[in-house]
Amino acid sequence: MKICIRELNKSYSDKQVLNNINLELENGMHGLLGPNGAGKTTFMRILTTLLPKTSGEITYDGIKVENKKEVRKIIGYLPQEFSLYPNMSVYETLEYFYLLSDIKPTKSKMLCLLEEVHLETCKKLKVKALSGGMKRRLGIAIALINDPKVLIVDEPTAGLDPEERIRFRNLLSDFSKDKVIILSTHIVEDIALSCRSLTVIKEGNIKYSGKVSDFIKIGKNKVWKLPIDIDKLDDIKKDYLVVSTVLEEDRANLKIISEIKPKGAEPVNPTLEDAYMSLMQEVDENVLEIS
Amino acid sequence: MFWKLVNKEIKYQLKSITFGIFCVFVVLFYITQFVGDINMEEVYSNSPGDLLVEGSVYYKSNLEDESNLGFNQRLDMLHNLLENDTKNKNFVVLSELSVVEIEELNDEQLDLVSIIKKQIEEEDISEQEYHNILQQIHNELGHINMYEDDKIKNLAAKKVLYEETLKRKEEIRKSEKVTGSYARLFADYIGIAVGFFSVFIAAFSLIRDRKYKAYEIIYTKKISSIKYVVSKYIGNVLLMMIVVLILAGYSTIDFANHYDKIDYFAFIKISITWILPTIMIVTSLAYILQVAFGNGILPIIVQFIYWNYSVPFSSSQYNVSKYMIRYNSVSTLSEYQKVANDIIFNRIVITFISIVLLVGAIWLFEKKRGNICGKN
Repeated sequence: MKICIRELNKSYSDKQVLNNINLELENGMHGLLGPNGAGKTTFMRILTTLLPKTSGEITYDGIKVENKKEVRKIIGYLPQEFSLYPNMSVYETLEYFYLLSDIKPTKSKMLCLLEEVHLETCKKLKVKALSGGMKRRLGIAIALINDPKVLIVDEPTAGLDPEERIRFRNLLSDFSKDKVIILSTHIVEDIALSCRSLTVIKEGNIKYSGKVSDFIKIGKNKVWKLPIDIDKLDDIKKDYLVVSTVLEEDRANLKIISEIKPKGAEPVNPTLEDAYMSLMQEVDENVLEIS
Repeated sequence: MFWKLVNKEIKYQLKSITFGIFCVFVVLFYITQFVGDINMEEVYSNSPGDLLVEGSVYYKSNLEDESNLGFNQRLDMLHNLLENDTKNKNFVVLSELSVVEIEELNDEQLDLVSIIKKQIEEEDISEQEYHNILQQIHNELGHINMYEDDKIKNLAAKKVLYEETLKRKEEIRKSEKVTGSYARLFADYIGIAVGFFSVFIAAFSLIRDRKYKAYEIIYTKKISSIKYVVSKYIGNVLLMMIVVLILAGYSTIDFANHYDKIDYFAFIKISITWILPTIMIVTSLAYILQVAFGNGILPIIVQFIYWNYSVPFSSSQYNVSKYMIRYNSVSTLSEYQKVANDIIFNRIVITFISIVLLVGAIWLFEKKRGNICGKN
């Protein structure tokens, strides 16, 4: 499966939400990273036929996104905010969505799917009784009903406890072998631990698209460790982008992102989050320069 | 698979409070209105019912103005009254508050009423003589008695009514095996109830996907918009019809217990031909409004206004602008046939409009499904 996106634009009256997006995605897990309001959800909704694009072209192995009927056959979607009918049981819900997918719901198929998302013991539970993580796993099961070639998940780990997040990430990794999985998130750690490639969007523009390992290089020689007296903390925060602060009695150990080495600082190997923050800072500075 | 979806919708509605409320209101309407009318009119007896003898308002509407009663009918009634009083040796006295009391006739009074009775039987009485006789008896008996022209007219009218009603009952039995006429009354009352309460079931069927935030997952599934909307539509309409058909079946059994010959399909037929289009139009209207405005309250308000417009009787009762059939009378087949064509035309047009609205709702749903934000 190959998804080709060419010069994709989306605007609402005078507001440009997506600007000239060009991407090619193949099997595997792809991260879509960006701050809130970057246009990630709009992008995903266009990919999943829920929103029309203003211009550009999107194809799934040659099938145009306008061919909604065919696209819906090959995609699975788990939106950011979703719920299900609270009074239906897990099993009934799955059965209902099998019908909506035009697939005959057999007991064996449904139990198999519930096993895959580790919900086999909860099949009789009502949806309203499920925890946030369980509900999302049920959402994934629903998205997988038609064995989609493309699975699109929007902020799937937001609000989950660490254990559920790990479980969820592993689940997605398992499915990524023979599918294109697009994982949209603003939690950098999720991408670092599960994605092979990454696209960063800010204000509707792609700021980076490539391998995760290459992305980390953006932060090279820009991340610094700086121990300071606690009374200088406010001054430092005014001059630099401080990404972490650890207080120890009258001292503070800071992690700073800066193009120039701050006085008394030592270089640190960047993490994916550092690289992301560095990129965001770069973008902000460019905007400032332009204005 | 389509019918499994319909089944899912029915099961969902069966568990909802809205459906429970719908059932309660429709059954209450059935008991208080339809069953109430049947009891009042003594449908199961051969008499036209006590209330009719006393002058039922309902039947009175079929009778010409009392003042148009012929002189002979009034004279007959006077004779009946005299015969009755002579036989019982008493007469009816009305108090100032119109309370009926019985007073015995004394010998003189009895002689007078007997003589006059005989005179009416043997002689040709002119209208002037009729008035003189009345005046004479009235003065002799004293009190507020029945020997006045207005009261005689009233009694004569009731007698005509009584006889007419008996005749109508007989015709109803012969022409439509009783149930045909009462099925129309059933359809009238049940139509009023489902004509409004159906909207509570239909108004949220499509937008509950949004309410439960399930719409994005549903809209990206393979199912076509036609299949999705129509499965819900049929589920809603079928469920409401099942309630109506249960009541129709119950009424059929009730009539079968009292009559030898009934039309076993009369209530079922009228439910399908008269009430089904009403349920369909309410559901279709609710669907298109909720999809267009993303709101379930608006269809209820609109339906309430439309219901208020359609319920009252008017000269244009079966005009296609009215979506329910009002037929609040137990009529004979010949009476019904006078308006049958108008009713049939109304039902056909309303069914057609329902289908057009449903198609509109599907089209709109497909549009919104591909543009969930509603902006371009």
